[in-house]
Amino acid sequence: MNDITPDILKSTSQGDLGAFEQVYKAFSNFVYNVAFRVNRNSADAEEVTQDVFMKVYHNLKGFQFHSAFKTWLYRITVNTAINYYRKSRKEGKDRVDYDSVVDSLAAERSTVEEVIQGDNETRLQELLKILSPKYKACLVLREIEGLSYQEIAASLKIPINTVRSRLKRARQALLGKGKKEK
Amino acid sequence: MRCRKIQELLKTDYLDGEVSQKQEQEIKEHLARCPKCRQLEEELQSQRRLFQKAKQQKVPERVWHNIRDAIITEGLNEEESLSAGVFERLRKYLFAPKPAFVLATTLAVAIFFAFLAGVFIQKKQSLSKENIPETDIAVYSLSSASDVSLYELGTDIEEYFL
Repeated sequence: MNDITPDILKSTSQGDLGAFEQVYKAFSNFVYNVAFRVNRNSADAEEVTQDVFMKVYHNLKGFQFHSAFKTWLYRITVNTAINYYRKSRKEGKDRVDYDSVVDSLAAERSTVEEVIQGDNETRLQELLKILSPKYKACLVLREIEGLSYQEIAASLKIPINTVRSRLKRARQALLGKGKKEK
Repeated sequence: MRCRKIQELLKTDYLDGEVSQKQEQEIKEHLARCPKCRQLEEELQSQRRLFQKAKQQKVPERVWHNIRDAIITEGLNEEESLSAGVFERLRKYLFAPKPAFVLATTLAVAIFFAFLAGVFIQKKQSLSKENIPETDIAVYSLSSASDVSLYELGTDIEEYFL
């Protein structure tokens, strides 16, 4: 993931749509994938991504560069994704979970590799379903996005020891659940 | 180190490469002789592989289009409200009740009415006292000339109009 130069951020804060597109291109994959893993469906992930980038566009003027832009964006992403997850759970939105889509698509896959990939996705989604959003976010940032403890702590505004304990509890909860059934 | 401590590190720092070299060496030595901890480490590694194989989802093109459209629409709405709002703001500014203006207006109205009342009273007095001689009152009397008392014409204002 590329870090964006302060010039691009400054241009974006002045309303330069071209500069903002560069910011979007650099970070949209991260935002979308975190949102997708936390919410477990593409429709919510799209909404979260749009929401996050609109927040970035509107609030960049107030960004003081006291922290890295990346950390700031991570925090907005995780908070927005978790809020969406809670909101849709509260509203009882009847969205189709990704795992059921994966199942239905599996039959249409032709190559062995695609079937295996689909199988992995199903298992992964099953695992993530077990966790509450804050544990899920922590694990996704570490395991899928590869953030360090320090980066996770800064993104979630929590102490490193809390990151450590969340990861430990999340992994503990998933032990034995991800095994392939024979 | 005891199993409990080792297992804690396995689930966190060891798995995430955050342990020191010395700690790593100690853990490896422990794993070589403890099947229970070794099994846990294998399970954690297998869990990790599952995450690492997770496919990065591609962001649909429409997401950027939606964001861009939303920003452009917002910009247009802002411009529209700016141009339409100039007169509205001017009107509000001019007609906004300001304490000093309200006081000044109230005073001006009060003075105006006081002035009018003054003119009115003055006019009335000049009509009733100076222009009409006292003897003329008898003209309006409905009783006979021999009557001692004069007919009451009513209030001052009635007298004025008569």
